[in-house]
Amino acid sequence: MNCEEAKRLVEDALDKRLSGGVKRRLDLHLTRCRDCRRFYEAEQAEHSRWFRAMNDTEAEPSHPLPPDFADRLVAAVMANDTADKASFFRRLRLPRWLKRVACFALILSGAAFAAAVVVDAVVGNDGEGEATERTQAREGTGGDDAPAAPAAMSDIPYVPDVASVPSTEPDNQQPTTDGQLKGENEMNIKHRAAAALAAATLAASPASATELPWTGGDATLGDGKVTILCDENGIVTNVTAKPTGGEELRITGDAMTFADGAKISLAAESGTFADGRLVFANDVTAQGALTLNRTDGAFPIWSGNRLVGVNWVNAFAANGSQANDWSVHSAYAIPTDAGISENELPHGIYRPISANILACNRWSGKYTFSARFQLQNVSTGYLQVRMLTGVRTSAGLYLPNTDTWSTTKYRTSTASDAQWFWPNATPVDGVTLQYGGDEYKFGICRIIFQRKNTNMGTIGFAGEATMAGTVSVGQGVRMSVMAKADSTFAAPEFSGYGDVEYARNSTLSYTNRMVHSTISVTNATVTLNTLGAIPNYCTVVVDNGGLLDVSRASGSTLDVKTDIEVRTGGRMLSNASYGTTWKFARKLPFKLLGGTLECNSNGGSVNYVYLNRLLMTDGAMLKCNKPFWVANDSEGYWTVGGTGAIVNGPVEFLSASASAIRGAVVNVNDDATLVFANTLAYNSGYPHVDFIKQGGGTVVCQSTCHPTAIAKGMTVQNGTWKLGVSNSWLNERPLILDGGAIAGADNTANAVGALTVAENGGTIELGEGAALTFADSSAKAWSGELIVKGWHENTVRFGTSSTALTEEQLAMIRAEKPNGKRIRLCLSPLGYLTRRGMIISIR
Amino acid sequence: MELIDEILADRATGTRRLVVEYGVRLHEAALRICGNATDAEDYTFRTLERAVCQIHRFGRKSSLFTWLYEILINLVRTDARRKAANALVFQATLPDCEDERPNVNEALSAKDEAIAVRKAIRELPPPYRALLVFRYYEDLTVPEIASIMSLPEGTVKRKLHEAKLLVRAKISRTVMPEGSSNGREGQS
Repeated sequence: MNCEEAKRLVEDALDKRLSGGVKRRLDLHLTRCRDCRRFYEAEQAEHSRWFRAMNDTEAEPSHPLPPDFADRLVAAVMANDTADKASFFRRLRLPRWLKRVACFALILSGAAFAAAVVVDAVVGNDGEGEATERTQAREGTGGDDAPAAPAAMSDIPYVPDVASVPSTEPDNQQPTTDGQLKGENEMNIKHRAAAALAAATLAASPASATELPWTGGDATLGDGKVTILCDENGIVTNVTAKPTGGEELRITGDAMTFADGAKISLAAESGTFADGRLVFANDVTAQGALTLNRTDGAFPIWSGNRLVGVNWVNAFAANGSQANDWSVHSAYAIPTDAGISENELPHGIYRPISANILACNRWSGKYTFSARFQLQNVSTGYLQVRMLTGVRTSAGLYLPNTDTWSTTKYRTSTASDAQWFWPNATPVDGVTLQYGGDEYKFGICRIIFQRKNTNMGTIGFAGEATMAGTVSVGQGVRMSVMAKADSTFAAPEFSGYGDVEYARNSTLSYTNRMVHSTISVTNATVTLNTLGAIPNYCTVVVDNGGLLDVSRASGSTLDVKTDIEVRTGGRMLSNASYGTTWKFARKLPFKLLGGTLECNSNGGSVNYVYLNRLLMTDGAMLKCNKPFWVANDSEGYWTVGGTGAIVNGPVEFLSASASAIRGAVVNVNDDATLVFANTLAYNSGYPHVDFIKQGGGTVVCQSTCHPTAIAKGMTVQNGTWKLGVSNSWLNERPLILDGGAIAGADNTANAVGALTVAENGGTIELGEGAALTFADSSAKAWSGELIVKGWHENTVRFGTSSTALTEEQLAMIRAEKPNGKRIRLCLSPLGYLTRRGMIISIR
Repeated sequence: MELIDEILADRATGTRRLVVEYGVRLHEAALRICGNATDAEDYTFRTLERAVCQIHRFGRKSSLFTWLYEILINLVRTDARRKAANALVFQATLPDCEDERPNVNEALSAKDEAIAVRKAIRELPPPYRALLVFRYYEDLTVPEIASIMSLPEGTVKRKLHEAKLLVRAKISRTVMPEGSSNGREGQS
């Protein structure tokens, strides 16, 4: 990419709509070209500055539409006269002008009315001078050239306070929304907050009874439907609204500034009210905590009353960052496209207090949202945040103190749960749902993460938490559950396709399946305690300090179709009353990567583990209190990949059927050692097992080995099979050396079955004072050389006579001296391997 | 209920909601495009009126705002053609001005620059003004602006560039003392 191309892309880059390839090439160019990099930085900075300049709400105050705007528009559209707009306007103008005159006359003569009318000084940065100029210009044209529609009498819900403001002034200096003054007959007045303003009580119910053009001081709508109380500075301290069913109460006029601790209360006028709305037509600024309060009790329905901010641009700007604190007693709804733009909501703490909803519903567009939601005492209420496509959110949920969130409500009838939705929203990493406090109990709740291929962030539990709900994690979503020490998750249901990480000392037990996921357990306890609880097609990683508890009350067959990895310091525990039958899927390795698998059967039975492929690395440990049967359906295969891997328990190998003759393979890598610390046996019902030792490492039998019914016997293809204690080889079962070694530990004596030395030869290794006795092997066909290391007279014996080996076999045997010199041996009359010369001399 | 559906179902209620949810923002944009309140209110009114009456023609493919702006721009254009003098048509050639980007860090406070930017945009010829209002006030993307103004994207980009040059020139003229535009950043 050259500089010209790079610069041509600048607008697209600012729009963030470069395709991946183009963006990469541009980024590459920018890393190389200093000029272009500066150009881009300057463009980006300028874009941001100009955007801020154009959206600076302090410098450019908002310009509300006239109060009668909606009425006029409704009248216009209802007339449905789209054919000729000009004639429509002319028609519309005349009666309103007449109304205005009538109204004006009324005001002039209506001394009984009193209202505060103050000239609004809503002007731009141009200053008043320019406004005056414009005013004069406008006055010069008379007003017959499309004057703005004056307010109809019925649209003016107040009368001027003649005592405080000269009644003639408004007529001459009525500002419009942008600071221009309109014609002298205009009655479309906006008001500004005035400290000294007297309370303005509306003497009569205005025709448009649902609208209060707030004057900036205390104000009450005629029938008391809206009451606004201000302090001496014109700061609102209390708004009370009494909408009836379906009614919308609108407060137009100036932007409201709410004092710290102010309240907005909605109370039903009579009975209950549904769908009543209190609408602020302008910005609302909160200087601190603002309580939104429903006072008529029950608030059961989502579609109930709403407090609607049309334009909440300043809602949280008052004190900068986290200063504002919203207490929401009532449903607080921000409607679609409410004008919330980036970073306008990050700064509040939203507190739904009881039985209510905080509904930040249907936000769409490019909004960044990182507000905190703080729930307290919402024992019967719930919090719902729904964010639609395109929303970028890093919202946090914070549940403080010791409150209980056992919510059972959800808006939709399909689920009686509270739900968190992040469906299809554009991801932002590190979303945090934080449940603080000492103890948390979740009733039925569902936390749903549906986004794909994102790093979902964290659910944090600061204290002990029980959770009986659901966490559903979308495919490819990564989610961490962080919890402090001793947290407990009672039985939430995990489903979906995501990854769940349990970190710190959290405890998790869950009852249902989780599929296609990765569960990693670090310093955490994860308990799978119900049948079928093993996640399917998942990766379960139990890391240092983690415990994966798969204990179940009764032994039953469990099909495992997931990849389990227990790393150093991690532990997997299975306690069962009657022993457990695990069936690991064929060829699915169970990886003990330095970790521990502990299987305890408390009912006196055995643990059946169809564990065809076991991979153990350095420090791995298999512990059982009852026989641990490792079945090999056809290709049982154990691999020990490090030193010091220990199978610490009675391990028994069995074949699944009489036809399965390939047997189990134990592969102990070079320099690795596998220790059977307890009995290694076979199952007499399955007599067709072949047991094959592979790898250059060593298997040590520290207890009795029972290869009795092995059809061909034990085959040592590589490395060493070491008999660690005396009598560790029972029943004289055959042994085949085909490249491997049989060893006797120091000062041990063992009796082995008939020996076959196959093509690749074999070795007998004797420790100090060790003795090995083989059965008569003369019937076996030998095809390889046998080396005896550590040989002394009367240490290796075949059968009980000199015919226990044939001459051909004896010709293949050499004793290897420590200096490497090899000597030929023969059998003594008692079957001991001895020097040839000695035999001859005896004869 | 979706706003569109509400307008279709109950025109009066829907219209009121339209005003509540879109009126102020549309009015603000109109004000910035037209430059005077009377016209702005009139255009807002006519835009919303036309939108309601022709709501069945809204394809729901774009956002409602985009559609409203499209109507607004059409209305402004139509009126401008009548007046001819103030046509909302881009000038054929760019006014003679250099790309002077003031080094705001040194020369201007952010506030001063903001004032200067607003003033400069206000003083631009109407089509450029509309362009920059959409770009910086409404934060619309180039394709969105192109759709609203019925212009090819390439034209929008070119005119956007020109508009930026104009604004930069105005900023440096109005705020910077003559000859002190020391911040010719980013020019290769």
